[in-house]
Amino acid sequence: MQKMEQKIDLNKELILKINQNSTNEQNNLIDFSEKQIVELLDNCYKILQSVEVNSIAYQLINTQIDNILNNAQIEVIAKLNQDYDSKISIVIDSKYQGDLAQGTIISIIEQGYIYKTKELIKKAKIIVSTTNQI
Amino acid sequence: MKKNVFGIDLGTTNSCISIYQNKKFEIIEIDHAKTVPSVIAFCKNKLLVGIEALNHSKIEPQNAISSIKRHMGDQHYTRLIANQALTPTQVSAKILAYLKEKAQEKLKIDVKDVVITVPAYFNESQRKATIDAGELANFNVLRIINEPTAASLAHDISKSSFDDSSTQATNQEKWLVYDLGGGTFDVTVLNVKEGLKEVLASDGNNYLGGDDFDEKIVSWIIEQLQHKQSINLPKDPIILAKLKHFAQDAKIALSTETQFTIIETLQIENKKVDIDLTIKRETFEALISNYIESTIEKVHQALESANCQASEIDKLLLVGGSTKIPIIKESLKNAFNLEGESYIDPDLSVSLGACVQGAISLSLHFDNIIIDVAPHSLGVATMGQLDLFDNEQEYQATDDPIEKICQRHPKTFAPVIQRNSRLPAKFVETFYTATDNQSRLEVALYQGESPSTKENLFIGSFLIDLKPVPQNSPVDIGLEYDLNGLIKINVSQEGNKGKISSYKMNLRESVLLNTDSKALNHEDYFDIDDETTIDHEDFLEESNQSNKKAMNLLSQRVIETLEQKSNEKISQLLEQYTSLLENDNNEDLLDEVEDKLYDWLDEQE
Repeated sequence: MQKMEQKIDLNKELILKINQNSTNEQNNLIDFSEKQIVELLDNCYKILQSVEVNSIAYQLINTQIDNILNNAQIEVIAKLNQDYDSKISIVIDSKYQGDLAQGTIISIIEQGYIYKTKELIKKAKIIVSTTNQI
Repeated sequence: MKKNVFGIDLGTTNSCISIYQNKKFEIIEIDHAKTVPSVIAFCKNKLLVGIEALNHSKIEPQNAISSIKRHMGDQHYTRLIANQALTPTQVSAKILAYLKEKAQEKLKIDVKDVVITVPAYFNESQRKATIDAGELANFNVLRIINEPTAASLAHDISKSSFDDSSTQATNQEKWLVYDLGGGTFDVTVLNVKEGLKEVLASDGNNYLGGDDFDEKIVSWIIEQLQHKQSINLPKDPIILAKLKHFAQDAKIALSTETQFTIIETLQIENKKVDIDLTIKRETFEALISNYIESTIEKVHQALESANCQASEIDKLLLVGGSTKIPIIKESLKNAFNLEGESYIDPDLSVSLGACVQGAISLSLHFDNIIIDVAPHSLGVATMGQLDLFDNEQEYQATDDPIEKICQRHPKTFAPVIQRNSRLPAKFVETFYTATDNQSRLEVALYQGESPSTKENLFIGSFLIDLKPVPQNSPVDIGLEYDLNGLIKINVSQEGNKGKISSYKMNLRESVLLNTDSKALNHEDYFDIDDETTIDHEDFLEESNQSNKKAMNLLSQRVIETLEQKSNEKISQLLEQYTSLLENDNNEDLLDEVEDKLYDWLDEQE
């Protein structure tokens, strides 16, 4: 009887371990996929910077980016000519831009991403406008 | 009621808070990050702290304060911001209050008891300012602890999560903690035996870190673009910001890869310019080699202060994000034949270690005990070389012969308790009267390492009456300095009817009084004991006895245990140990006796 109980306990432990391992594996897989998507998106944005805005290449890449974002339920953080979100952005520097309101995003150095559930993936690195004329 | 304790790494660039809860140490994430920028800013009179403040500092730098830690303890330093003059203590308090508020919001518990870390080289004034900042932020500051010591405590805990082996040294070991962060560098030599950690010596550079490495890479990129692609970069903040970003990426990548290629498009004067640069690891290493060499030099100095050879070091702990750079590990290996270890994110280990210390202070976690050392030498002002006024009229007129001499001689600092002395410490030095029939003696206490008192921190001063004796008559000045910053000063003059003057003061309190009032009134600083009548010889004898009894925490633990369970053999061993503590040339025997005492304590526990 005692042996039987010990065996049951051992099996319970084993099941717990397997469950734990599979959860860890799942989490690792999610992390890996997330990393891959972010890397892909970053590279796409990098290519966009080097092509003309009105070119077909630009439009193709832009559409591709939108698709990836939608499918993965991800939103970009930084949008040009808009205010920045101070909690999830990193302002690398600022530049005086005439009448532009202070804190307007004028350049995106590295895009940031957030899930639609508001879970942060990566902060955006940006340059914003300032009213300081130094 | 469950007791929670918190550890805070109040850093120059970033700060970090951790909690000890349910026998676990954890970093508390704030604003989606494990560290919070040590920056405050005001935006339309609204206070911002952390990432928001750092962001705002890039837009309105005049309304932001960063790196305030570099000014801690400087009572004359204030920053005018949003129509208010803030001291470094007040700025630090705002950062600490933010950590408290956010941690409370997240954990839904009161965040009160805390241990805060400081660089090992901080003097009393800087340590006092840190405690004040904590109290101003409504924390109960259990104690402050040196950053490298905290890192070593975190190492114990982190290592146990990586392997099942015992993390604690069972024999006496010496550890070297090499801490290179974003803006500061620290090195500390520790004595480690099981849970007991004793700081032997520390050194550092307040202005060296990973940010300097980034700057080197930025300069390299600018130079390469000029030479290889004939691109002259304009001084545009957007371009410079991008270069800094590339530099950081390159620095991080070169820790794991042998080369890094920067392929980017820059907008230069309305033209798109493609840049394609490859930086090799060797190039990066050459760029920062001077910095690394300077840290190696500091390690040599720390070893020398600890009176220890590199071959005696059993463990090298790497702390701070910049230690991820492979050349640092290699340089340390080449210079000292030591392999660096780090089991925890080097950016977080200091905060976690502070938390461990907090748990120890509240008796929640018993495995570690720290013995500290005097961070700076403590001593008195003595007459120096003749001053340089050629014209007698430049001196203030006085009939007082002592005053006359004081004016003509600059004050020289004579250390009584040397830097890195094990605390509590008690030392006596003999000084000599400056004039015939000298009737008064000014004992001015200073802390620091400079031979000139002007460059050291003034602690306090008092006058004592002397029995008139011929010039060059001896006066003994004894200083005692304990772990709580309490100082006792004993002054004794041979033949002065056997009288000694005895004073007590709190180092940290006196630093505050000094800087606040500026005026000197010794009764404010010192609790003056009744002058006790003790023969001069007895005084020296008592001082010598006390030196022999220089207590450390091991002794205290043994005494406490002996009180409950007397043991003649151990009492004798303890006596032998305390006398060996003062005998520098018999380290082997000291280690042997220490081992026996630890073994006995283990048996009792």
